Amino acid sequence: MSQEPRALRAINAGQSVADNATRLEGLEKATGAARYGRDQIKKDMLWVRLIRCPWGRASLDSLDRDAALATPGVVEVVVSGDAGDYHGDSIGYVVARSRRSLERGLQALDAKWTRLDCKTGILDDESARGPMEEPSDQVASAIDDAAFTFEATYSTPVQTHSSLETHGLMIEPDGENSIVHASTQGTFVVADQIGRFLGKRRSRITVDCEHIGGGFGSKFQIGKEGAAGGLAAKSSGEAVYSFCDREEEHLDTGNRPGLLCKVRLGHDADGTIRGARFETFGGTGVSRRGGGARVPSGRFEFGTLDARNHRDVQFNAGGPRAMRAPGCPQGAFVEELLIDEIAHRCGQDPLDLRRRLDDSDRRQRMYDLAADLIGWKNRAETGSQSGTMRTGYGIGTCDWGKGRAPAKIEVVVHPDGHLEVRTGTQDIGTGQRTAMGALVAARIGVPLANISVAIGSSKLPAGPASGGSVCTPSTAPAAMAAGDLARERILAGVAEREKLDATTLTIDDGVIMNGGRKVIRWEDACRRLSEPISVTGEFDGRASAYWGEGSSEGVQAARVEVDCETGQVFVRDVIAIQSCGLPLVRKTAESQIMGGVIQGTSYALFEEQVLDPNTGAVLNANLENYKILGSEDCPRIIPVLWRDDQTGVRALGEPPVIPTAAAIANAVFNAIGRPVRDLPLRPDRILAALAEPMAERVVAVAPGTTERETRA
Amino acid sequence: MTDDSSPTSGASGSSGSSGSSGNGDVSRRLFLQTIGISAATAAADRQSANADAAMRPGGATIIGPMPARTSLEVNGAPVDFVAEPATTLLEALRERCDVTGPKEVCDRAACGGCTVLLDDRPVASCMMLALDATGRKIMTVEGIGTVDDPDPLQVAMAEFDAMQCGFCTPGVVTSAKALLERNPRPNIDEIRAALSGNLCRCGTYPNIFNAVLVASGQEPVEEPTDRGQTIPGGRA
Ligand code: FES
Ligand code: FES
Repeated sequence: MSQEPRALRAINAGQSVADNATRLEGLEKATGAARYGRDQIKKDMLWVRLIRCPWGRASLDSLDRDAALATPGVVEVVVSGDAGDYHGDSIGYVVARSRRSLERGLQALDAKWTRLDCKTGILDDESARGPMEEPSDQVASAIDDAAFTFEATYSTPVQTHSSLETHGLMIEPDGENSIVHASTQGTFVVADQIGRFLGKRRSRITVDCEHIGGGFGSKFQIGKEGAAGGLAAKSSGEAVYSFCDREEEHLDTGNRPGLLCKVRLGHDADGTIRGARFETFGGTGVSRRGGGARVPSGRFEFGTLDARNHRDVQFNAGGPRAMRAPGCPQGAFVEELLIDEIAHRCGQDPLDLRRRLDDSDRRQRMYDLAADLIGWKNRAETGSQSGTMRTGYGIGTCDWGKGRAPAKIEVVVHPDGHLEVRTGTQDIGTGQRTAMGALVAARIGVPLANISVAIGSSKLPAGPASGGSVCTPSTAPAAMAAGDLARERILAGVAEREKLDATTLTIDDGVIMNGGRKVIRWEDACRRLSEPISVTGEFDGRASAYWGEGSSEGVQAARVEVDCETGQVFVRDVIAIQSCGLPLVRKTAESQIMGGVIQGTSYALFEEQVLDPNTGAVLNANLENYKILGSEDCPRIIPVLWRDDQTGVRALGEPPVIPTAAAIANAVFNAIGRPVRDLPLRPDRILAALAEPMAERVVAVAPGTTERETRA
Repeated sequence: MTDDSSPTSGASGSSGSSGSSGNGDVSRRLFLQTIGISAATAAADRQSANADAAMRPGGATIIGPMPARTSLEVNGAPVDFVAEPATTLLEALRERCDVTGPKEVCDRAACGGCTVLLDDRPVASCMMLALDATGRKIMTVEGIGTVDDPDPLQVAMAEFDAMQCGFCTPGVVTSAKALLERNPRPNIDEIRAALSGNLCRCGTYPNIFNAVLVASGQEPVEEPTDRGQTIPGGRA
């Protein structure tokens, strides 16, 4: 960037409830003291591994169950099927006393398979391969009325969540009860689901997940590994450890489905879009559902629309699961690149066209800030550059709804002034723990140092799963209510003793004040308690004063450099402006935005699950061939926490991952003058694009011109 | 990987990611078991406590295939256990020594989650046999500092929020510690390079860079911001 971006501090200071708070469990994580489900290793426990299909589709010819059972240490072999419908599909499991005996047992099992024909992608579907259907009459006539028509096809790959802690759980017997250490985004979901396999009532099960090594949407259900673990625990009565290995994680724990999207639209010379038809095809593997994409998103005016022409295409691969803003990054990639293509055809600045097509006031202001911070004024005309290294600028946008769910938060006030915040929800790395602590502290008016947070146990007050960016927005009203209740209780006591009016009392940084006069320190007021008091704040999942209005919105701008000899794309800077209602903890909020940008950059450049079209085997079910972004590829990121008059807490987990790939694809288009309509933006695709003619213009560049050229 | 001294060679002999489901890992261990015998031989003269070592007529010491006594020095303390010779250092630490800071993420040298310091050099502990670590100084993230007595690098990691889920963090801290030991004032490019073997799925790299810069007495550069102070006693 030609000019340094302004300091983050200057941008984000004062924007959040807790500006300087650090993650409460930060040192535990930095010293290795934090224990995850996968770290719950006992000397005597059973190991479980699923028996999996090695091909896209195969039938089982034979396996030697007896030999497996005769292997020292193997305690159980369960075979419940004789065919697999995708690579990684399971037909049973083996249980053994150690991982070594488990491995030997699986070898002795010696499963022999016959490979069968299989389908391996969206393009195995005839209608996906074929031409677009005719638009409806209204859309056809809207397109006809427009000056130009435009047609294009876009695609995105299968992305795997690749959480570093794999899916699974460890089950420990505890008398009649079971403790389940799960790597999950849904403490209470696991508690509900595992009983069936364990053969235990819900009241006999405690789910514990104090720390979770990543969860980006795939860790809601217990999965087959969890079910097998539960069954093994039931039949043995012993401690059981059942986690996927890295290959299984890639094969059978969900993914962001691939998308094929065909678009036909009619636009005028000024970029106005009169009407459009979108057809989407989502690859759902063996699942029936889950391939949908949010395109068009509704953020831009597309005139008369034929949307929601969606088809889920099945083939022989593991099915999708929700992944951080399901359907949205792929939809945004299509929609935003499409807008830039239209802008280019009409000789317009894509930012100006967005300003016209987008009716969100908040995003209008975000466009200005993004343009300023990225240095949009340095952007060269699309396709105007020559030479090896070419620089491009691109924009992407997002919004995210207002999902909410019931939640409870308990606050215990101890006589020493210490506050214990108790919530059964989980902190998957979002900073939920810190956010709840900081919010209660702020509501009461005491320093965060007074607070500890107990989180991630089904024994604690119930709350939602970490998904849909619902968790923090829903627990925040409960935390605010709990904080207010605790504060009122203490102030009422002080007012009574001091003969003051409780409504005039305030608490400022741990000191109870009456007007400008200090009455008593928080700790001293609490000391009068004979025993700890407990209050519970509740959010019923409906609108309330604590809930507030509005949703989350964002704009991102990317600057890239493209090496036109090698086809490599380097993402240099990303400005990520994100609103989330009332931001809670500045540092963790910035981290979430940054994480979204990094995953989005990784999605734009590298990630792609590859299926062998002949065998249906996944060719890169590991972290060396399935590449995720590393330290050397990481752009500079300026996460901007937006705060305006919104008072409720809103989504922050998912929205920042939506615009990044779109912004990068637009920046690449700007740099090289040809759109690359398929993700990831691999070097071979860049080079292939460069071999094509420059993207067409239908309107001359000169500003104010309306002269038409031949219709497209 | 984390360092050119990492014993990553041989990683790929293992798995050849063709369509062999689930048993890539099995065959890799077989492979390790096979080479384990010769590797263990080399280790054997450092291995006085090996109860199961037997002398071959030719004079070479072989260990296994039965479980063998193994002695390690982990974070300054001796540990002693019996394990099959094919046990990797990572398994030994996590499953025998109750040292779970190093994480098993890929188990094949692709992610850095299992990084430990072996005689002060970072290695992928999933790619080395425990027996080969006998007689050498093993330090894990737990040995670098504790919650009550953290290393300045760990404090900086927390202050800069250089973690989200934290699963990559032990490996990151260990690699970064090794970097600072050999280069007390690394610049941003050196930091990026030193951490290029440590994958973080949550996406915390910029904060990690700043934490390392600040821990080495330098200004944070990647996004210039004063991140405030850790709140004492604020931990859960
Ligand atoms: S490098 Fe050892 S677990 Fe990934
Ligand atoms: S913090 Fe989650 S993987 Fe790095």
